Amino acid sequence: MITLGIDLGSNTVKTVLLRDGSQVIARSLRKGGHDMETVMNECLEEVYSAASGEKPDKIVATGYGRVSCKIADKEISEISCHGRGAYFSMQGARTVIDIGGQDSKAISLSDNGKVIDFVMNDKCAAGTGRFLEVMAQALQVQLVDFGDVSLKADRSVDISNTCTVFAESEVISLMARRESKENIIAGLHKAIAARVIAMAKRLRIEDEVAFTGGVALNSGVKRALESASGKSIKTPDHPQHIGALGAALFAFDMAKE
Amino acid sequence: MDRADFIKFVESVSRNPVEQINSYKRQERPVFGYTCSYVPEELIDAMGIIPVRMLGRAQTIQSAERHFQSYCCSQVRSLMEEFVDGVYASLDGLLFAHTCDTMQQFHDIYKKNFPKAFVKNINFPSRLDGEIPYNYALAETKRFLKSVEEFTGRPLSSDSLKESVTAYNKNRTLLEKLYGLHLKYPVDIPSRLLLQSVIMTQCVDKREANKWLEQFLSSFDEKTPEDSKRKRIMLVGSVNINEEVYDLADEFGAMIADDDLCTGRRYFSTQVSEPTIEGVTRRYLSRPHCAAKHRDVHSRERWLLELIEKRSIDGVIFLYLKFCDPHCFDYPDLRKAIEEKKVPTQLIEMEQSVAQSGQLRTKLQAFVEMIS
Repeated sequence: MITLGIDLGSNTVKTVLLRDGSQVIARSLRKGGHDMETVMNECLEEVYSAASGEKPDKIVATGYGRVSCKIADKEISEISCHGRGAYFSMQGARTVIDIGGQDSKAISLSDNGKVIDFVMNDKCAAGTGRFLEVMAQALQVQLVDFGDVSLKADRSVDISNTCTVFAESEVISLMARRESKENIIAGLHKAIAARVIAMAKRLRIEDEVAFTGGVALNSGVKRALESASGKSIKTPDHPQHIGALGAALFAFDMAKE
Repeated sequence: MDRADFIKFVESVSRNPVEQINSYKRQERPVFGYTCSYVPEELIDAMGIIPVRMLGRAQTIQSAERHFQSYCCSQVRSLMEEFVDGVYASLDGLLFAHTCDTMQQFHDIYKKNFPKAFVKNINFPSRLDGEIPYNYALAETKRFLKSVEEFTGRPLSSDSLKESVTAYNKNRTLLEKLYGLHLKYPVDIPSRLLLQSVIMTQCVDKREANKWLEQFLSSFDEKTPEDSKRKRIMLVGSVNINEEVYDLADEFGAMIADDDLCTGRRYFSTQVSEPTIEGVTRRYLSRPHCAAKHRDVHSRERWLLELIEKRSIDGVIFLYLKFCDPHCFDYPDLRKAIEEKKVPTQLIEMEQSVAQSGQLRTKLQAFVEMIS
C-alpha cells in the first residue's frame, strides 16, 4: 500500500511517498512560488517516477497551502503532522521544535507520540526562517553557509532587537562597525534560539527534543538552541520532510480503514 | 419570520450597529453608547434611552494613533478611531465603567477631546464582595443615575424600572435558552450565532431583541435534536467580535459550546432579583466577573471550572486581545487550574478587526485534532 504526504509550506513544497506506513520510497523538495500547484505537480512527478508510476491509495496535505490542495483526501494541520513525523523518525521524542519559513512551533508529545500541547508564533517573522533569510541578504552570505560560518566566530554579538526589521538595521550597524560576519551570524543564531526557547518554555521542554523544519539544517541554530535550553537536541534525517512524512503516515491510517 | 430572517437580522446588526443607531435616531429616540458591560443598562433603558454597545470595528488605525500608543488594546484603539472619524456622531451620549486602566484612560481622553459630549463614567468598584463594595457601588450607581436624570430632565420612575428589569431578565433567559439549544442543534444554530445574537441584543432595544429571539427559539419546539458528537470548545477572554474562530471550530467538526466573554455569557448571566436601584446594583456585583474585577482569589477559576463541568467542555481557548493585561495576568493561574482537570487549553492573542492569518486556522485545526 502506498500513501503520499504533501507539505505545502510558505517557502517550499515537500512530498513523501511511503510504502505500508513504514518505508519511504521517495522524497522531493522544491522552492514554492506563486504557482504552488505547478511546483507541487513537479514534486509529484519526481516521487511517482521513483515508484515506477504506482499511484498512492490516500493523500494527506498539510502546511499553509493545504486548504487549496485539490488532490488531497484530507487536510491535517502541520502541528499534528510534525508531531507524527518527528515521533516516527525519532522514537521517544517528547518535544518537537519546528522552525519553518514563516512560523516556529513547539509541540509536546505523549509517550505514545500523541500531540498533547503546542505553541506557535504569531504573525511576526521573528524566530522563523524568514528572519535568517532577511539577515542572509543583509550580510550577503548564502543561507546554507550560515551554520559553518558561525562555527568560525570567536564570540557571538548581542542582537537586542527581536523584530526582524529592527534586527536587520542592527546588523547593518554592526557591519558598519566592522564586526565580523561570523560573530554577527553567531549572534543571530543566539537571538533566534532565545526567541524560540522562550516560546517553547510555555510548554515543558522534555529531555528528548527533536528539531525539524528547514532551519534544522543549520547546525549553528541547533547549537544555540541547545545552549538556550540546556538540553541535547537531535535533528532527525531529512528535517524538512518531517511534516510531509507525518501527512503520509496519517494517509496510511486512512488507507488501512 | 423564519430562521433565515433571524440569522440575517443578527448578522446585519452585530456587524454594523451604526445602521441600528441611525434608525433609532430617525425615530427621534435618544441613544447612548456604552463601552463596558458593567454599565447598568436597565437604568438607562428605564429613562427612555436606548443603550448600544460600542465594540470598535475600525480596521486601520490612523486617527487614533495620536491618542493611544500601540501598546493599548485594539478594542480601545479601533473605537477611538471610529469616534474621531465621526462614525458614531449621532449618539446622544457615551458611558464608561471603570474596569482596566486603558478603559479608564479612554474615558479621560475621550472627555478631553469631545468636551461638549455627554460622557459619564461609573466608578464601579474593583473589589465586588462584602458590604463596603456594595455601599460604594450603590452610591456610585445613584450618582451616575442622577447625571442621566439631569440629561433627560426627569426622574427615574419605579414603574418604568420594573418594566425595564422585566425586559432585561427575559432577554437573559432567552440567551441562556439559545446557548442550551445550540448544544442540541449545532448545525441549525451554528456557533457564530451565539456571538452574533449576544452582540445584537447589546445593540437593540431589548423588547425588539426579545421578540426576534422568542420567535427564533420557538421554531425548535417540535424539532428532534441533531445527532452530534462534536467536541466542545469554550472561549475565555474579554471582548470579541471575531466570527472566524467560531466558524473554524464548526468547520473542523467541533463547536464553540460556551464562553466566558463580555460579548457572551458574562453579559447575560445573573438576573436582577428585585426591580430597584439596589437590586440592579446587586446584579452587577454578583454576576460572573471579568479579569479586571475581584471577588476572592479563586472566584474566576471556580466559575470557569463549574462551567466546564456543566457543559462537558473538551477544550478551552483563551481568546485574548493583544495587550489586555488584566486577562494576561489571570492566564497562568487559570490555565493551570483548567489543565489540572485534564482539559487541554490553547492561547490565541489577536487584534480586533484585523484579518487573521493562516496561523489562526492552523492553531484552531491543530487544537481540534488534539482534543479529538
